[in-house]
Amino acid sequence: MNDLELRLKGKVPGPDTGIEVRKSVCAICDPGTQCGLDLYVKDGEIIKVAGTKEAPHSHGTLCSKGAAMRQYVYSPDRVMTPLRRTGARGSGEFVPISWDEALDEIAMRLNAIKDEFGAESVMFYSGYAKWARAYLMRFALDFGSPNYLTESSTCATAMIMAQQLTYGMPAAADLKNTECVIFWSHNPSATKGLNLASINARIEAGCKVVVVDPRVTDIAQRADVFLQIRPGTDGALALAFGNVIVGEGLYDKEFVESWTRGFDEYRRLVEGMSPEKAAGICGVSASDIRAAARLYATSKPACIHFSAAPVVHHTNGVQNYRAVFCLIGLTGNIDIAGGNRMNPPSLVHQPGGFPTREREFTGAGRLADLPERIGSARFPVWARLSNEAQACDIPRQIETGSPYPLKALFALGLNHRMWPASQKFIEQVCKLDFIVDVDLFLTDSARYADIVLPACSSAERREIRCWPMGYVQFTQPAIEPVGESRSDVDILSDLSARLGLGDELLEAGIEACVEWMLEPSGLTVAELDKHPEGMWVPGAKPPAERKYLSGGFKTPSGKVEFVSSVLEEIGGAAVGAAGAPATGDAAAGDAVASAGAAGRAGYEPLPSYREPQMSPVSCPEMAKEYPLVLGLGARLPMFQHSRTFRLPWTRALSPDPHADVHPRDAAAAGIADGEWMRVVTPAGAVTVRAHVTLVTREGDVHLYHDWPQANANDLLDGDYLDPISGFPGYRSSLCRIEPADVRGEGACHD
Amino acid sequence: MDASLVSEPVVLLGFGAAAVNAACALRAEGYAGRITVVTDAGVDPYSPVLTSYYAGGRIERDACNPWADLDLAHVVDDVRAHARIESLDVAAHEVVLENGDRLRYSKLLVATGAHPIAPGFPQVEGYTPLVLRTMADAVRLRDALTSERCRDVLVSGTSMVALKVLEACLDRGKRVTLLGRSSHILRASAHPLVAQRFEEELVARGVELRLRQTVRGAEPADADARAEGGLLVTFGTGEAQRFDEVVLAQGVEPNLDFVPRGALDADRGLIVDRFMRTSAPDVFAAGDVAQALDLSTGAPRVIGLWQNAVQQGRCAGRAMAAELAGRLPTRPYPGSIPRNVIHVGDVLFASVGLPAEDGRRRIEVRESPSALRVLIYEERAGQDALVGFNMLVMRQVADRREFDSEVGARFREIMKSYLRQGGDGS
Amino acid sequence: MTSKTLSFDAGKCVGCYACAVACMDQNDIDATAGQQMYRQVMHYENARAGEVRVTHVSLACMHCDAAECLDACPSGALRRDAGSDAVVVRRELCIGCHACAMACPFGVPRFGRDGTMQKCDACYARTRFGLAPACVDICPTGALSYDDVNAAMAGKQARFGKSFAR
Repeated sequence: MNDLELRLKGKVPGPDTGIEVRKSVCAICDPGTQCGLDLYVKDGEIIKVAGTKEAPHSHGTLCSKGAAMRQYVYSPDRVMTPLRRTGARGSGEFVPISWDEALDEIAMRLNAIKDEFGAESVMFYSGYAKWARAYLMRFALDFGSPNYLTESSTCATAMIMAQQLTYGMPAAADLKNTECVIFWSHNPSATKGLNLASINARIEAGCKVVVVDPRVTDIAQRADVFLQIRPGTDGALALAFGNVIVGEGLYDKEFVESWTRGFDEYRRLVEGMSPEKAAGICGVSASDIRAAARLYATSKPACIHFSAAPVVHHTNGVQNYRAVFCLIGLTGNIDIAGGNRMNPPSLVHQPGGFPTREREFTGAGRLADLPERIGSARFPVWARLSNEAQACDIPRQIETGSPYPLKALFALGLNHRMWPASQKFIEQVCKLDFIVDVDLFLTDSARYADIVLPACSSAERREIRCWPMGYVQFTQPAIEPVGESRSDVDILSDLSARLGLGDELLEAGIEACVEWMLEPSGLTVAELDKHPEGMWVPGAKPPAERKYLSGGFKTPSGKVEFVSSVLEEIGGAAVGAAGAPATGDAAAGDAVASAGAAGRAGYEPLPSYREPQMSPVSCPEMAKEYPLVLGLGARLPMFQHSRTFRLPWTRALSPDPHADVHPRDAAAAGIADGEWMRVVTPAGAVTVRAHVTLVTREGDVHLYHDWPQANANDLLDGDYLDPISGFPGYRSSLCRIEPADVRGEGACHD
Repeated sequence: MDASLVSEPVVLLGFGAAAVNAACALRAEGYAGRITVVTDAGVDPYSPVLTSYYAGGRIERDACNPWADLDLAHVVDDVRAHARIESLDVAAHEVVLENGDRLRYSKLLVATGAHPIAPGFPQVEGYTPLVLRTMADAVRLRDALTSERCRDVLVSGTSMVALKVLEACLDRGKRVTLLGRSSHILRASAHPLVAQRFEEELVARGVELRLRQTVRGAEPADADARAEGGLLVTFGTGEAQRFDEVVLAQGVEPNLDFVPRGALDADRGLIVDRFMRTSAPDVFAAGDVAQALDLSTGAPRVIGLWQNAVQQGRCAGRAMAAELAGRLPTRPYPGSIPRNVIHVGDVLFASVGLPAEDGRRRIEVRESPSALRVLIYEERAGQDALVGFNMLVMRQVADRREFDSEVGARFREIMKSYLRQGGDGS
Repeated sequence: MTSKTLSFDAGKCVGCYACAVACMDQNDIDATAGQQMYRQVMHYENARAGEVRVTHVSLACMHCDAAECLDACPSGALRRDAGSDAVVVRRELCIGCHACAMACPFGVPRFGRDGTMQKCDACYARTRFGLAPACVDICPTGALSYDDVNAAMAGKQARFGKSFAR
């Protein structure tokens, strides 16, 4: 091999090899962890992917998903042209049509439906990508529909709600400056893995670590105290923390005195949850609970690293996380360096150290004049706290037509397996008159659409992203779009014009919109365009500490609310009025939480602990037939939901659907590691391989989700929801396992 | 050593894996004197392992030299090509060539390899059966197999070489009959269960097997056309069959004609110590002529393997260099155990250690539709130790993957079984 | 010249597979056609005194100093790259005899559909030009590194020293 051949083999950039490095961001997972991509482009084609060294968050590294970006971009499943359905919904039979034909047809159909049934009968939904959400919301409101919905209906919103109810807005863990961190259900080895280097650095420097997780994650093995709790009992554990902290006088008395609401009620609540009692509920030792609580309360500053979905994927999820977040107020670790910081977002949910008009851009203020959103009646707390509609109520409203009929769905990235009882969900969606799905791939959900529009990936489009350390990047396309695909925003912009919505700014395209949003920041598109690799924001400054000192917290009382004013108001129950509601009295849990209460069960103003609706404690009868706790949604590092299933590189790392089972449970069921087994619930069964592992608690089964041939979410009823957030109780229900007779499973993947 | 000898070159007899590695080791150890190679082949060395691939058309001639990118001209000063060795005088430190040249040596490496033997195949006037060992053999076999006239080939023998010849014939689209006196192929390395399965796979690929059979006679099929019409071979069963070519692959023996009887301690090959030294001063042996330590029996044995030749040649080269520099040699040859991997088409077979059963051994058979393993255990040093392993895989890629990771592990496990016993002697 | 060496620190590895995928990207591995990945990530569980430990290991070719595979290869397909000390395969010379598979102590050799052996070449075509191997470049935790031999040894010694701490 001569030198040039060797350089070509090594994919070494340079004029001789014709390989050029272009900068982009990875949006396979989203948001908040956007990693810088170095795309090695030769003859207009990406030939290699690496991390961008100067990227402020990822520092030149990537995870296994981002590393597979090339196969994501060039997947044979990419939709190359707009498609019109010719066969039955779901059949996957389509014919290619032109963009003009597709967009004109969509505009005509949507306007006709608006004329006949009202704009609210059209839903505007965003799965992934998240980057285009502000545009989609503006587009929906332009159209006149209040029904802008996102996959956050089962992802992050409930976690945000728990914080809003408690102290007004999310407060992120300040790992960099902390002395003690509680990872409360966060597994950085599988998700947001590129934070690991900084986490490791803090641990090396002596930062104390507490981990709360039903599974023995990597970070759990490095913890000073690891609490491997039974799924769905986070609230009991948090109340026991409160018991120790209050009982031993370790709380921040000054802060609690001045800045909290309902401390006396909270004190009484936690007095009912001794570590011994919580130990019985959670399955951990009382001494570990005490040790962890003391560590958190006595380290200054200390923070809680929460995560989007795991804790709120329980039917008692919001209250459980509220109990956790109350600890931040109790210890005064709110909005201080090294504690949990309130850092207002600049763009796409991320703070960037500069002000923008993104929220104004969405036009959310117009919601007040529109009909009620999907889910508003059923989930009034959601309606109070979120600008979105609650997507988990879609199937009910389609079926009942109440409070008004739904007729059309316009989706950016629909994945019906996001919903519990996914098959039933898609059956309801099929009753709609018109479905549009914009996606990169002809997914199983896209097959149900009447028109499919091809979207492009982050490598092929422009998008603006920012990072909390004061960095901003407005990317340039690294390559031409694959096929006839287009950026989601281009599609919205074009369609807006054809619908005649009269939105000049949106019609003017992404640069104009970005310029408009950035106006208060002093940043301009012209300046950003000089730095396609991103730039440090001039004058970006970290937010001040203790911003509550001027203006208070963004709660009705302006304080951290142990007793939530919103829940008090909406739940219609004063504290104590319902007769000491479920103060974590697990023994009473058998009367399932949703049963009995005349008012709104589960809406207690205090973060009371209730058993998950389905648990061995709440349903002992059912547990005789279904003795194991089923958790759906644990993560593997190479997959983000189903987004990298179709990539041969990531798929090769884990080819088959599987579930984690403890060795004793596997042995009891007569199942060996790697064998096929059935996971059975009252709602259904799936067949997956058994991964027999000590990482799982005895008694728990963790089933990996989103597999077309073994859809975990079909194992739940569509109404198995948290009454406050409408979130599915994915992480705790009941199941049994049994050997499966699978023939031909030896079919090798070569 | 006689002082007058010090200025003489190191002479390497043979130019295969052992000799080339000896030469490289001499240089690596700092030997700066002359190195003379004597070979009956050309100036370019070649690997006998590759000859069947050449004959079968998988590779070309220039690929048969595995050291093509090694600048051997800078390692070896003098190559006596196409030279035949007449005799060796160990007392005089002298090798006599057929052409009368006399080469004195300071150190001598005997690495002349082996040649095929053909016991019991009848002489046929005007036809010389094919064999496969040297490049010249391979050229002849290749010519024969590329001839359109040639359709039916008799391969006589069930050795590894026989199977590689068989593969070359299959690659060339020939009909092959495999003839063997023994009841199974690969008698020395395959357990009968595995051999039988292998045989079934060969039959499934169109090979005709004639096991437990001998050849009673052979004659030109067509008396006028002589060998052009092929050979009519009569088997011990009385059946007769016509073949266009016959390849004899029944085994090999070392090339040691030139060593006077009694000059060097010999059995089947030259007995060597752990530094590959023969019984005569300054004479070393390596590769297929050397009977070095077989760990599985503790006795010296010829284990004709490429890797053994490489490592023995290197060991000999280092030892020669050390002695020439007045040092004691270090890094002895550790010994080896019989092992082999062979593939015929998509069938892979591996053998490690002693696959034979005897009363003291426990045998474990693991079988799946596409793979067969036989593990043989023996009590050694109070432990149940793996001493023999066979694995045969067919078709399934997944099994081939396991094969690749398993054979190396089994080899090491079996080595350990034998080394453990040695270590526990005290 | 100080030679550089590829090292792995199991204490930092979290089993994220980024190295495995980056390797496949660098080497254009056609996983759909059954081509094997060069770098394997493995997980091992242990329970001692009730505490569960999971160890992750990322392994590819060790590029041994005394590489058995080099001795076993009869076709010259395996050689040591002079510039980087990597053991590299020239697949065009490989006859698929699997002798390297028998010889390798680490189970590294894999064979493609064409029967030829393939494995990690330590990205010698990158390191030659001053770039790190793809797996090292991408590793989010620094478990894989490509460093001066002495620096790597110093790191190893420091880790060993730290094991006494308590």
